[in-house]
Amino acid sequence: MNEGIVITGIGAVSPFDDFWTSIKSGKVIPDSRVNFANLDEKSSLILKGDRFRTANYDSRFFVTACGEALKDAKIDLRKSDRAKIGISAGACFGGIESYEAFHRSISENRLEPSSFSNSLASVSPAIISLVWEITGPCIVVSGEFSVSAEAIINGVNLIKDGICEVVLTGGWEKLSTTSVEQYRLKGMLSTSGICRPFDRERDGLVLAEGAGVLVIESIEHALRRGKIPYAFVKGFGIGSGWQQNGIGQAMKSACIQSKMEMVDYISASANSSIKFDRGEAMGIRDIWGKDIPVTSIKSMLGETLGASGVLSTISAVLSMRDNIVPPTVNYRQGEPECDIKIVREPVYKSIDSVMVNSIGLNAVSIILRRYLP
Amino acid sequence: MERAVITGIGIVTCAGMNKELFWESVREGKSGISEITLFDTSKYRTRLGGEIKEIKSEIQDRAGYLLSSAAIEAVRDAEIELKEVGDERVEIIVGTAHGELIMWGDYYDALRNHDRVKAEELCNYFPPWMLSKRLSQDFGIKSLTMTISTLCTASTIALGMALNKIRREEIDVAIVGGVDVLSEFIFAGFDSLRAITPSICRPFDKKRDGLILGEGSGVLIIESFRHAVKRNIKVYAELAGFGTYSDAVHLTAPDRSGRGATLSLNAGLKDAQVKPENISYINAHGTGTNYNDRMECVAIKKVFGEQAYKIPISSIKPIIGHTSGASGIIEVALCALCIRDNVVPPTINFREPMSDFEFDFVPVKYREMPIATTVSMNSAFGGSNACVVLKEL
Repeated sequence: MNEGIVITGIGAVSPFDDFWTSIKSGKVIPDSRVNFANLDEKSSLILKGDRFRTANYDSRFFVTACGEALKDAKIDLRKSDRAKIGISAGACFGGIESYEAFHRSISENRLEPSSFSNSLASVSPAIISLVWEITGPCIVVSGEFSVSAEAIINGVNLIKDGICEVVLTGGWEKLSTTSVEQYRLKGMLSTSGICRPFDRERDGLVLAEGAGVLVIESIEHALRRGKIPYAFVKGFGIGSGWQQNGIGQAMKSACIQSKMEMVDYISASANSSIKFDRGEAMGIRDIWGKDIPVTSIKSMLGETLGASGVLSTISAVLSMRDNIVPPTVNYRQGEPECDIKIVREPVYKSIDSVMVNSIGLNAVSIILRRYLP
Repeated sequence: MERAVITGIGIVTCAGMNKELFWESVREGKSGISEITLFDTSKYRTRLGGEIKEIKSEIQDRAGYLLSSAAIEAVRDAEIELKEVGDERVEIIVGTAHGELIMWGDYYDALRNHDRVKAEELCNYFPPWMLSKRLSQDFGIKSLTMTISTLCTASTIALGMALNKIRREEIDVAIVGGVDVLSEFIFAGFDSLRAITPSICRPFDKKRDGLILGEGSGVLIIESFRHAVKRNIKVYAELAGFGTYSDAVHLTAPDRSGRGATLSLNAGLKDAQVKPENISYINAHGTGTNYNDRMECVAIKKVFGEQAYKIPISSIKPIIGHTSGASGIIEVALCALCIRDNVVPPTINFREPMSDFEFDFVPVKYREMPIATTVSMNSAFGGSNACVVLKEL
């Protein structure tokens, strides 16, 4: 069984032109949508030929992030056993726009077969397998804000169990009227349009779209092919639900599995939701006390649903590379229940380890540690 | 390494509303296919489907209803008190293609009609992951939940995830389910892809020309062997092996060379430490479409060689219809019943084989024979393939 799992490639799609440059300097997304002209250009370089003509935006998002991650990981696929490469993806409303389109096409008596197949969340990961001729396992989970973090855990397990050597893992979210409307109906959207994680005046989610992919592999596999990894996935934990016990359970298990008692900071899941943020803050207080630095990149990025866990992980990886803790913008004053140490300005210091929280249907904590040669 | 066993089975299909009624129909070859009443089929190639007539169309959350019916049966069958196991040692894993598909349509209609109250109520039923969350609420447990969404291999992969979680000793018990419902959406979808037969579903027959859609749910209680022994409970079979691989060839059509299915079968057998010649029964995906059935035969031939002609192979899809995300787990449950009773079900409607694949498809009538080890295979859009191997304990 392989124990040391490392991240060797990352790819991000978001409403920012440059994801990390914006996050580390505390810039807020200009728009909830990605730059489509840019995305079309990048994705059409990958999705060549007639068989991808009908690929929807879900697939374009995911494929673009995947292309960037593979390039970054410098994997020579021609030399790889592609049955040993796996795909582990997470989706929240995956394929929903195509679902809407096919639903319309039924009532208008003009069936569009491609909208039907595109309405299935598993189609975007399947397109990854087609483009790069990857024949290993392709596991797709459906879930809420934590789903791409859960996909990362499934991916790590594919390597630990000896099934795969390399796994492409992550998730995506293409915003649709359905997804936005659903959170509006549930009363979870911010009316001010400002995402203020942990702040006492926070008033709900600001949704955004994006995609993220990590290339993960065993440390032996990475070094054998001469690739210096970004970071170790040291350990993870999962708890049930968004409440303080669930996230507490996740963070504790992650520490035990990582054999680590301290991390340099926590990249929180907090997305400006009234209840989720409070549950997380209380969980952090329970486990870590109030001195550990906590930050939430969702203050800048918004809640990207199916992409949020992996985009937080990517940001944590880059924060270790550049030794910067990204800020929590818009935070002014906490509430008594959320009394923890929020990082309000970018902090420049040496960072060797980060705990990344992702809370949705389940609470997930992943501990990353810098790779030291 | 910890072993995983099946201790409870729950099944709801058009050919039987519980596992014994289902098993009787499947064994006797009594098809549950009938004319669909859930929606207007006049625009489509067939009026037939595996609709569960016992469930009234007024029930809004049809998928949740089916899933929880099967889950209640499985939990009773396993005589398990979930609260005693402990929330942290249980996980609910559900495989589904679309979840509460019908309600999505109702939701769009409500939005279009500006019926905010209705829309607000309906939006709590999707996306697919709401199903596993609601199942945990039904049982009053706060366990982890996971929803696998890979269409027709979804619940097969859900079983594989459970197996590996038990082997890693992360959990003691998994409630693994699969569910999908008949709706105009999925019916129109398969019809637009020309996958539905205008006549009857006849897997592996020379004249096969398409599938029949069905609906249903299957739930299995998967337990660590140690936990089952401690509870002193009956065991149907060992969940011994799992494999899943991709074709990476075409988005909707199967790979003619059967590469993904071959890789999956080989991996599943190896995982279960079973030699191909020791398999007593193969439950095929056998949808009745031209390409799927041929692809499966190619893969079976590659993996089993000359043995392929000696092992009984059958498909129950002409009896219950193709139940999408539920088909994998229903078929694995069936394999467990084959092991219990030493019987294999027939492939009804099968008359004449393809000239190059004259395998034993168990025509017409069930067969009594010792069944010790089974393999169940499934394939899906996007080139997903998966299989599960069971062993008699």
